[in-house]
Amino acid sequence: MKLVLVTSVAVGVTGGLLAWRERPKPGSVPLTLLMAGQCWWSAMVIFQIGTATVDAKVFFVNISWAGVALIPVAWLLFALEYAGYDEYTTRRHVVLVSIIPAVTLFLSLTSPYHQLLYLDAQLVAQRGVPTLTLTPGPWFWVIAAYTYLLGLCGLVPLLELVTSKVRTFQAQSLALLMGLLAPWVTNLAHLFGYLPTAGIDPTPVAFTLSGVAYLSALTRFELFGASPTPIRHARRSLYKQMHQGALVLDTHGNVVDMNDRAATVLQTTPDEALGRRLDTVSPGLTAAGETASGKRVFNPPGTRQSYDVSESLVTDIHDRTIGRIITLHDISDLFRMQQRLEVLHRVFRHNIRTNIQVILGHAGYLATHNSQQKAETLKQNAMEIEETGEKVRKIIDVFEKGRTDRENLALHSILRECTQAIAKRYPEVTVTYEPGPKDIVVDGLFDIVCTNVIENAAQHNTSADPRVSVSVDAGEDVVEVHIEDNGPGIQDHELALVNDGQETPLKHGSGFGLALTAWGTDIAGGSVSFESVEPTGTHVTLTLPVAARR
Amino acid sequence: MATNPQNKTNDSTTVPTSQLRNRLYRLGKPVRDFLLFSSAYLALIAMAEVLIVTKLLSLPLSPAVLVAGLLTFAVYGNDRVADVETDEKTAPGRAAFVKRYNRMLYALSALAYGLAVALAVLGGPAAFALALLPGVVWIVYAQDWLPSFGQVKRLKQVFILNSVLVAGAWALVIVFLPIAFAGAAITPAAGVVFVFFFLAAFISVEVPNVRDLAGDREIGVKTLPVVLGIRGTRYFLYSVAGLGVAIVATAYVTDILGWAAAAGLMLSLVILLGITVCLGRTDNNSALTITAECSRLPMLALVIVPLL
Repeated sequence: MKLVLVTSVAVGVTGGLLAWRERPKPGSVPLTLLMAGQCWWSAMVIFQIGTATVDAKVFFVNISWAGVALIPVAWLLFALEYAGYDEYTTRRHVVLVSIIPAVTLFLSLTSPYHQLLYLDAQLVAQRGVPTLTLTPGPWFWVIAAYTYLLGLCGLVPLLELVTSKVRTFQAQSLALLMGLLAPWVTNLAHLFGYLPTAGIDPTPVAFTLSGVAYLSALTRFELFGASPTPIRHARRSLYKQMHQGALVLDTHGNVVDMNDRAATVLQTTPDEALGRRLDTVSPGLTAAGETASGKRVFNPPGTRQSYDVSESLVTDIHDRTIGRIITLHDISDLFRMQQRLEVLHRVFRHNIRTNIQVILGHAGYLATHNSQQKAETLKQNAMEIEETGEKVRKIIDVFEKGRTDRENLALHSILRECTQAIAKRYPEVTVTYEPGPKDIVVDGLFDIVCTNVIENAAQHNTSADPRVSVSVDAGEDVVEVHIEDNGPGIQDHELALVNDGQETPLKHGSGFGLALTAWGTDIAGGSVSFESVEPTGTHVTLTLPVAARR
Repeated sequence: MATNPQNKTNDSTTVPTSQLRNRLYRLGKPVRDFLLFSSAYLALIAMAEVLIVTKLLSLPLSPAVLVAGLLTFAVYGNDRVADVETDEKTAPGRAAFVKRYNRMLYALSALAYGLAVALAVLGGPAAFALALLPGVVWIVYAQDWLPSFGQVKRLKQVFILNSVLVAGAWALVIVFLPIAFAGAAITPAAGVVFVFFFLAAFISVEVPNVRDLAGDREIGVKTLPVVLGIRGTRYFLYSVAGLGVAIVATAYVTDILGWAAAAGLMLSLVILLGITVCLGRTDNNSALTITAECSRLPMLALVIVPLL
């Protein structure tokens, strides 16, 4: 037995040093401590065997607890770290699991003053050998139960890895399990008196097997060379950090998990949502219906965002449905672009068709009658087609710029140049400009937007005394540009196109000016509002984010 | 046609000699490299020193000899692996060897330490504690985790304390391990032998520091040559050797040591004094280092002569 114990020490020290070298890989330090604990225990058993008196034997038994109590803690920490459960190996957790072993160590060192660990110690001759017989006290059973409890807790993450698809992890886990089970079975057999070891606890002997198993895991199966530690973290990170929102529902429709993105989309927090039914957390999501293309689209209330809702079932090993995963894919840009293209297409077709019909009608008339007026109308419609083409080009230009990095421009320069150009082009219109702070810089896309609004105000102003005024109201983060005219105003159905925020085909406008303003502002991160002015005219307010000040 | 009498390249007797020499060199080089660069030769020296102590203190032969050898191999092997980066400046040949066999050397060192501790357990608690001592000292001396606890420096960089720790751990193991295995009492003679081994080990530790002066200065390790300069180191080591001479002489006069033991110890001290005289005065510092490490070996005669 002594020889086996000596082998256990040799294997333990060697394995401990090999594990120590692998720092800071997860599990390396606890494995070193585990080896140290079992070496200490084995060495103390050797010394106990080598002494003759009760006191000396009891002394070595007592100080062996330093190793005995260390083993379960080290084992648990090792298993948790190795399997990637390192959120349970913080300093606080280590202190918590070490309380009972620390009390045990204290009781072992003060053993002569109480009978908590052992009630009685006697020398009994077994097969002629004086052997120490100890009667366990109440605390012995506490630490024994605690040791087995921690052993079981450490077993769970390793059992998970035994079924891993990665063969290396299977081999590692099996080796580690063997390392745990060998002393465990031996200790149980000793406690229940099944082993003829003359009263000496042979558990440390089994540590030889443990040591060999751990050494095999270390060297043959590259315990620290190929580690399953990141698997759990990676899965969690994928789920937590993925760009799509994801919710897990149980079979009753309760939200049981959600990632940060889903919480943002549903305008809630995991604390508020978890455990509640989805139809309570987000009735809109539950009610999200299918679009014509067969997609379920969810528009969170109060936003202009759109999410494609897809659902997949979660099944258990017996193929039973145990829940659902709902993913929310942000299709706002795609959806908006699709709507815009539809509007663009319909408006474009409507305008061109109207102009062409007028041209054809008037051309027929011109073929037989020489009419200056009809010729003018014909020319005007042709110019409108050209104008429509130009507006479409501008809108496509805005879309194009929306996809690329844009430069910032000084708002004052934009408005000054624009008002000067409009005043020159439309000399009958009185254009006034009250500049705001000159250091404000905005997205370059607002150049097109502002020019378009001011030009529309001047171009379609049929007042006897046409006026357009431009002013700036600067805030800290946003700046408001006010453009007011005394023209005929904008038709309600055209304004609805912008105010509803929905570019539906049924509400198409007669021109592209409004669409260009609304879409361009939206793409550049601003907003636009229209108000009627008494007796006639329109007040347009463009709210633009301040990109910088210089 | 005249031939050059000096030209013997075509001499039929020279070619086999040269081939034999080459073959021996090829065979011997790996062994020499292993012994020298892994510091295995230090393990052999440690074993010899335990034999000497066993004889000096009239102790029975014990596994302490093997334990000391294994411990020395383990600690120095570990140290070589841990310091391979800094050794590139001071000992490039050794660093190259250690880099090449890094994992194997560490595994061998771990195995050696495991065997040493396991054997020491058979010698009782004192031997067990002594076997753990070099490992503990090495961890606090050379490992880099200690500074993470605060402002504590890596002890390898602390002036004097670094050499005292190494010499102390070495002397404790060499002298008290055979005593522990024998279960013998600690006599005054044991005390004198311990002081001798401590002082001799201290000098042996500082001698290679002269060779490593530039590298140590660069990496911030404070040794005697770094702090006092080579001349100052010489004077310091003269006083250490002188202290050793005084203690051994006193031990002889007071009958603590016999004449043969005292003479053996004195001889070692004289060798160390001679090495100290040469410090900074020769370029062959490697030879000085190895001579210092072997300075206790002449006392092997105490063991070998009676056997003969």
